[in-house]
Amino acid sequence: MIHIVITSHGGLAEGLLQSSNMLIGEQENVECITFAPDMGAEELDEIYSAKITDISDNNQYLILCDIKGGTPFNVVSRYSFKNDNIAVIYGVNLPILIAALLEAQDEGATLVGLTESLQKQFSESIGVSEL
Amino acid sequence: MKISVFRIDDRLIHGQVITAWIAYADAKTIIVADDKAAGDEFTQSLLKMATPDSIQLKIMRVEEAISWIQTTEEAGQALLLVRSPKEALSFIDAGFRDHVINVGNLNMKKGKTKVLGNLWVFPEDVELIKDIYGKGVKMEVRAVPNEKSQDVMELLKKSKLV
Repeated sequence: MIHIVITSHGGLAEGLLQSSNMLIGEQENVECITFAPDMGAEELDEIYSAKITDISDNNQYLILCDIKGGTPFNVVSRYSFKNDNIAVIYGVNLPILIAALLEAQDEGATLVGLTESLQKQFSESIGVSEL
Repeated sequence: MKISVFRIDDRLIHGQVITAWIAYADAKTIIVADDKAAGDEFTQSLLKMATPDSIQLKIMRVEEAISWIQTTEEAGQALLLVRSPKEALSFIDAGFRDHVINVGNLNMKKGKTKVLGNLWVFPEDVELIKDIYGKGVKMEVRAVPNEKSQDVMELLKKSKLV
């Protein structure tokens, strides 16, 4: 199983999940972790360690962060260090979240396959309307 | 090299720094003066990953950073980051007294007293801060540039810590 964790400065993570629910319905295996204004890095880390548990080849985690270099990304990146069952991606947006949620449920989905697929699809994920 | 912003932040490089302070400081270099980071490759990799590609990053021990800034012939402005008042005081003792030191985040830890949501102090921090003010240098809490500046000593007085 691949768990999806969305983590952000403020309410973006919750908001993204709410938007995603409108489009593809409520999903299992997804969780939001909000980095609140008065929170310190250590407090945030405690939340991650409580939610990211039982890590194994059969219980993998894809962490979707808002910005590269932000505290959620900096803190959670430690978890992916030398651990192939946790991957961290920055720059989450609604299309990435939806693709991640759907592809994670594909039969035989693997974390490596999922992160490669997302990187390939979304490395150019912004564009100008051509109308 | 001119230090345009001198900041104490226990998270060192993070969202507020990369999205707001680099531009405000008009900096092309970030100097992280931190003995722990300078001695830890893993922390260094994290700091490098967090730094925008267009910005030069220097991670040095405090003493090393002081002498590098004093002797470098590199032009341009830099953002100086330290983890706590202790490191800031080393810079002040070395003659860095022209700044109001910006305080971003000194977050909650066991044994600390809350002054503001992003300002928690150990008893020894209070002593260090008194020492800093005693040397004629002021400190302000301002997480992001467009926030209202609050004088650290005034805040400590209000919290009856001094």
